[in-house]
Amino acid sequence: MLKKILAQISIILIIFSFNSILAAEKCSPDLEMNKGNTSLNSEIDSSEKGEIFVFFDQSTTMKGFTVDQPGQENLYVNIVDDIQQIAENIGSDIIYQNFGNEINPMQDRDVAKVKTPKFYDCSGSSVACNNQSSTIQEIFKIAEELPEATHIVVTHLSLQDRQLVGSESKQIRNPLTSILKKGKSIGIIGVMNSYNGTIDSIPQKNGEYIKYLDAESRPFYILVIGNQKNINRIKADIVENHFSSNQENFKYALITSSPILQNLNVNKLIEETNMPAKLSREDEFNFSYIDDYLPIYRFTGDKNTELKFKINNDDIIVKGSTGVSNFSITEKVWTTNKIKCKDIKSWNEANFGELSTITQNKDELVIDLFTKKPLKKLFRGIRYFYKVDVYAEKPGDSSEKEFSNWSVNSSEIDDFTQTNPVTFKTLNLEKFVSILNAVSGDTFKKTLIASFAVNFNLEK
Amino acid sequence: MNHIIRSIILTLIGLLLLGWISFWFSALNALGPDGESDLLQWYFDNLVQSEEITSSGMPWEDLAVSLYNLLAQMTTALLSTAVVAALIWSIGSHFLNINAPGKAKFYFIYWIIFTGIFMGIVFGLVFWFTKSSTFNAADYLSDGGVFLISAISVIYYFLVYYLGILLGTARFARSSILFGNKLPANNLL
Repeated sequence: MLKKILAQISIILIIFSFNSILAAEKCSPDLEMNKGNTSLNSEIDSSEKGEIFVFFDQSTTMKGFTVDQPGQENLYVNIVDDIQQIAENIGSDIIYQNFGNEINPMQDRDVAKVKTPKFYDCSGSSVACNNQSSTIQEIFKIAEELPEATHIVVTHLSLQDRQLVGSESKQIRNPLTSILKKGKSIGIIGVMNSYNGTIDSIPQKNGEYIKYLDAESRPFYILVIGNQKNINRIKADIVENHFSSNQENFKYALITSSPILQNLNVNKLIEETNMPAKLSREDEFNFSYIDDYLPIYRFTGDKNTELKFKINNDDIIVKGSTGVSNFSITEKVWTTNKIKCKDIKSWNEANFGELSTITQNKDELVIDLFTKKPLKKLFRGIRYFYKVDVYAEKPGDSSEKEFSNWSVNSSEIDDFTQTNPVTFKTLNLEKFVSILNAVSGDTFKKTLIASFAVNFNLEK
Repeated sequence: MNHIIRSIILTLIGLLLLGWISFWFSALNALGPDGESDLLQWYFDNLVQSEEITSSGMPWEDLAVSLYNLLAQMTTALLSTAVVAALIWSIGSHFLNINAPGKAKFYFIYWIIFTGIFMGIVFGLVFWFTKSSTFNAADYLSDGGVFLISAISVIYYFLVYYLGILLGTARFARSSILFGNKLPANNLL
């Protein structure tokens, strides 16, 4: 019995002394964890149903989408049907409105008519029926005033130059800035559809406007302003119902002030595999987290050790969003001439300047460690602790490229019309998307997406 | 045999004329750096990559420990080589087959080859200490520092060796070494 007690006491003492040794180790310098904004894209988790405003463009040119064109697929009717259904599913209150020169509420019985040419016919006076432009800026104002609601807009999205410059442009920019600052996003879903109608208000070089009747297909757009969850749901439903096999006639962009999905450290998503597999075969390799936040790769390397830290774009960038066009890193290095952790009493802060580079390709974000100051220039016999914080600096402009081939500028549309196109492009679409991108750039805040450290010493 | 012992003593005296500096220098380095010393500062200014060391954040005094160790070991190895080479030549000179006047000059070529081998070893040792990956502290050395160490080592240890053999070479074989015949004919030498 006594032996047993003694044995237990010995084990406890051994464990206790071992822990004391570990506790005394100073294998990392004193770090101030910059955890950045740990609740990125928290709006995604919002599950409450809210108000849904659905706006149907009632300008006369929209009629062409409802009339079948032989040999062309008409998705407009079905998609409008889907939108009504999705709105009913995701919203608690659905408010339907139509817009042209002005915005008007719709009676329930009128909603079903949106799919018919009759909805776009005008029975008023010729002045009242001069319903050729869409006051989309008014919708943005409503969205600004009711940011918690989801706003769905079905429109041809052809905008005149005057709507994109000066005070009219501000009527678009200001509400959008406010919307994005509130953490909301704007989804643009483009659908190339059959068209059998009149495209009006086409500006000519001489300042006159003409109509075009020979288009057989033309894109229409569904703008969704609200939280990303609803935007993604609407997009997913449309893709699933109509474009599951072929997305040639479908385009999508998500404009958001927060195209960053998450900070990888918060959910401990950084793993050994973010570094080359060879690294784990280096002497004394160890991968662990400090404070449940900062991953550290510890090893004994040589001057040829390859250090490339890779992050999958899908892990950090909201799918379908404009992405990030510019990343940056901040680097900090500490040194000590004690190689073994148990011998380290203190660390010295080094001042090496820039050590690594960051590049982004189609699939990955690659941080090439020690490219500016190669490992060959570091000293053996010193332990280095190198901490890297990766930031997203500037949102991308992929959406402009995405929509560019469906867009035509006002300076080109005259010549374009002269070619008698069968597929008609959208006036100033690219400019509109670039305004959205610019607004998103203005509201974007530098965001920490990942932090990691390498703790190593070099041998011959 | 007496001649050989006298040769050894004279060689050691010759080696000592300059060799004491190396001995003193090795001892100084073996003791390690002193934060206040001029030598530590001189190393920093002339031998090492001072900018890199400054930017590493490490106190030079801490890093210098391994450089002092490297230099202590290197100078010891070089001095030992010079001593061994000088003794080999001095003792060996007694066994050269010089049986006629003027024949000693013929062995000048032997001396040149032997000295060349010695200098090669000196070069090799300096390279091994300063450019190979054997010593971590070699990383600290700048290109200019390596050149300085090499140049000083080659010249200095040649002189140590040369003075050793100048005094220690057998009297009848002195013509085989550079300026050996310029030594005065003295019973002590």
